[in-house]
Amino acid sequence: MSPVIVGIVVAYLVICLIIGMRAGSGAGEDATGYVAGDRSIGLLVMYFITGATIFSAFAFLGAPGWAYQKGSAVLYILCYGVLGFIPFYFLGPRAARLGRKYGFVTQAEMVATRFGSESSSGRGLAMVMAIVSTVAFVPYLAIQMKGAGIVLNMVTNGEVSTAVGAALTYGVVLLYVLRSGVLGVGWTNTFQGLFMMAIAWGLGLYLPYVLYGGVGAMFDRLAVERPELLAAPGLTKDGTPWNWAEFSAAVIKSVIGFSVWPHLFMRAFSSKDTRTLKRTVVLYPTFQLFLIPLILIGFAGVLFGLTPDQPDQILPFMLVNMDLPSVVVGLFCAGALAASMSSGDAMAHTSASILVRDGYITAMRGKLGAQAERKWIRVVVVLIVIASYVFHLYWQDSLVQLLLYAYDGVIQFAPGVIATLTLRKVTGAGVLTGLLAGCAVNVALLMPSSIWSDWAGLAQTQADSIGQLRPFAGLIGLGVNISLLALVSACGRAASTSDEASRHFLEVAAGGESPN
Amino acid sequence: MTKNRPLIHICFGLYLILALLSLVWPGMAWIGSRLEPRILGLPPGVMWVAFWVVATCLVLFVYHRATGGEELE
Repeated sequence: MSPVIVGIVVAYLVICLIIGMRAGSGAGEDATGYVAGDRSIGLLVMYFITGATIFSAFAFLGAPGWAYQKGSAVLYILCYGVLGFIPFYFLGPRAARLGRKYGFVTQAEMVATRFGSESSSGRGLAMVMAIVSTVAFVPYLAIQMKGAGIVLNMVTNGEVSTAVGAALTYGVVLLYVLRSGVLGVGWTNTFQGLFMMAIAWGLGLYLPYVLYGGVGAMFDRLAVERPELLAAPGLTKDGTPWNWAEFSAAVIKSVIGFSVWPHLFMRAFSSKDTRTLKRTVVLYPTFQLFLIPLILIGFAGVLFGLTPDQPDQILPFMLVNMDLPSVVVGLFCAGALAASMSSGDAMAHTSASILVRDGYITAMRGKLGAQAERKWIRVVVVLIVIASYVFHLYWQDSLVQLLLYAYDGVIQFAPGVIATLTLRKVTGAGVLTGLLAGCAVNVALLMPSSIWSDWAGLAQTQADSIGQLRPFAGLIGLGVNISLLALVSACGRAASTSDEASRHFLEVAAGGESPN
Repeated sequence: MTKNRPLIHICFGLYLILALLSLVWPGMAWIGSRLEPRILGLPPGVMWVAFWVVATCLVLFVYHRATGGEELE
């Protein structure tokens, strides 16, 4: 193991730790300070906290892995990123105004309050959203850990195991998240975002140049030797052509899900003002350009000659097999860790905040003082990190596939969240019924075919037919979700007595009443 | 105040629909499944998506300015 590589990685981790630990020193001691940064985050940090949170180990390792194995299938990631954040231009400012008026710091408490946080449907919504968020976040956080572990394992030639690499990296993350909350996440994300952008572009141009003589020359060879990889929609992991229905479904579900991730709403509650949020959305597509060099790296691996154990390892695998200067390998390593940590820290912080605020306080009517709440969020951060760590040890499929499954769950929030912020004629029972049904359909369709045949007694052909719906599980669940939301809301309108509260809530959201 | 100009909102909505249809089937199938022509050495599919990234950024910027997005509340 090169001392230069170790030195760069250690220096990087120490810098992250210092930035993260110092960032929280001015924040308030209550949950608003820890979870929402006292609602003071400006454009620079907001840009990186949203961008770096989403561009993660999945982008740094998963995207090259998909380009290497599946070719143009990887373009789906760029496609959804173009449009995915635009709904937040409209939803984010509404949430931010409500956050200032009502003191929200999580998405679910906003939804629950709209439909009566003391009512059974309001509390049910808070509980279901807390559970679904956690179920979606744990694998997402596991992706980041797996990415960090792969990087450290590869660049140390196996001397540091994947499990130990993930533990070391997330030990640092735990320290600054526990100390500084969202401000620690924000300022480290800014540093990490700048760092990984520079590394991605540097390597994305350097590797094709070293291996092929340039990007154009690389695609010349690929067009002759592996043309099937260059034509969209690319290939599946089995090497057979992907189809346009599944490509389009992956893009559409990611576009819908992108803007309703609970941690994005927590950023809305943290923002200094609505103008900052809107500017962040306007600037956001520029983050997509950072993905292009990572995709080039994946394509550079196709004709590399040697084969990694897993496609997700292609980038570090090439680096350690090219006799590159240790400085280059060390900087890549730090960049990839930045990608992993910049998402993982936010995931851990968000899911813990949601479980305590929504699961315990809103849904279960738990009573906690400001200090106790902050303490319990910290305890749950540790538990979430441990759960994700255990999960990552057992996950064997690709990083991108894991993210797609997470999107299937999180898009079920979209109808309820949009209705909460924009529609008057919906009821809590409608939103809750739709959410539960959408999640149930999603889970049923994602189950392995063997469960349908062995446990439900279906013939193998029927079980296989259900299995073919798996790529569309989230969207089918979403259709059921929307239908039931509309139907139950229409039936329940006559009994609703909360029209005045809803009207006031929506007026604040639309900026019709000063949130202060 | 230009917040309530319906034409801007309609044009923006139409742009979003066009962009979506360009990035999934049929738009992406039409451009992305080709191998030529290559621009700056990149396959048409990659350039097509890069074009929509830049175009969306510009359109969002115009929409933001035209609808009073820079106003402080």
